[in-house]
Amino acid sequence: MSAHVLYPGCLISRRYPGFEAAARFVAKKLGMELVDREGFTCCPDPVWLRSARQDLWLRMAARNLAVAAGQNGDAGSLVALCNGCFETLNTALHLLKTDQKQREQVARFLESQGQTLSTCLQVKHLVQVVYETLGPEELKKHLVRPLEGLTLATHPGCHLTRPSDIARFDDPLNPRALDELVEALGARVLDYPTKSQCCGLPVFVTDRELSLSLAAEKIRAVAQADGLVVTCPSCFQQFETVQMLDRSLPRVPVFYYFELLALALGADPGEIGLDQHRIKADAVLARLGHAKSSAHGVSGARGTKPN
Amino acid sequence: MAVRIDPEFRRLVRERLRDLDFNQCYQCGKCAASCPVFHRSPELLNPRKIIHMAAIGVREVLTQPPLWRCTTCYECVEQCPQTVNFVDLVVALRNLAYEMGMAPRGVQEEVETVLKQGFVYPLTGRIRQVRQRLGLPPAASDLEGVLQTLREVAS
Repeated sequence: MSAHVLYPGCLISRRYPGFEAAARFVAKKLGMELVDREGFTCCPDPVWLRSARQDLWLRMAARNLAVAAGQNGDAGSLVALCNGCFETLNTALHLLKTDQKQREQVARFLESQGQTLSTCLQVKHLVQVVYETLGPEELKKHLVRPLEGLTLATHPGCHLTRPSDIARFDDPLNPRALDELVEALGARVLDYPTKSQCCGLPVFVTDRELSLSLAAEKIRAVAQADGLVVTCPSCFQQFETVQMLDRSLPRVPVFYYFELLALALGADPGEIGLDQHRIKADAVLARLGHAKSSAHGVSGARGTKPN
Repeated sequence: MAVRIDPEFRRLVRERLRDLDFNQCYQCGKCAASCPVFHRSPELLNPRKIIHMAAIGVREVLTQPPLWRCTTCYECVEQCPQTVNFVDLVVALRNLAYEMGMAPRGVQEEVETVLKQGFVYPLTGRIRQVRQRLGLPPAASDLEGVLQTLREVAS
């Protein structure tokens, strides 16, 4: 596979570094080269920064695209680990390609920073890269420790597939790719009617009760599953937070897809930071034959507050 | 409640949001039917109603809570028979509200945070330790130059 520039994002690099470790582990095992670049900012946040100041949002996103393209502008693709980063960088790229007025304003801003506007690269989510370049069948051949016996529910998250004219991945109203990628790991996938529904995190800032009720509804819908699989750290945060705040909810450990893929490719839970989860995944890990990850534990994990 | 049409606001919306085709809306309500927030309660958010308020010029669309309850999930955008992009409309209306100082406090704080540190989330000492233990490269870099310029653009 060809080289991809890694965009680690701010929620993953600054709150869930284990997800970054899992993604890097997976890339290495699958022979995918991830190139690091220095100087990225927040993507920035596709909901509130864009909702407040679309001009700033577009400039920051365009700058990240320029950083990704590098000196020679020769990057093929920029790979996001988060649905929000994927949405922002892809939507910004789309705007810069289609809106001449904004393109010119942004180009001038970048010149003032000694950078050049670059719209030649592609923006991909790592899930999309794995699905499109390997696919579920090929992925199976790499597994050393399949997740047999587990029933998992998936939450692809809104911005992995929507808006479909920009995301250009999977079916936006009946997403299947994540299900296929989870099934490829040897787990059974639990189907449920609200699979494509939002986790509610975006409105946590403006209507906390509504936000949490959307998440709670989904947790109740997947109560029979051994875990809920997400592709976005914001959805992950939301599904853990609602379970921390509402003790009446069933306990459903939440997994970032690449944590599970890393385990299936032979990772030790400690080396991908699985001990950092607030909703402990120990029961699931024990069923997969992993001893409790205390040997790698980091003190302070319990101090992570829900927010 | 009586609806008050404000011709001046209507002109402002038409001028500032002229690139958005929300006037193509024929009020079928498919957006509401696909909206997860509407499903919790029509009082919380009715996309069809927001489009209508913007189109006829009801200034309260900016200040009433429903505008701030859209999760930007794009379910409605995928289903609109008139290809109205409700999320783009919401973003444009929220930008207008922010400019007029009417955005909720939490939204204003996020803009301040991003302009201050370049990221929504701070890099704590604990996370630095975890990154190191996991063998990850340092997450910090010096962004002061670009943040300074962005603050100038913002002000």
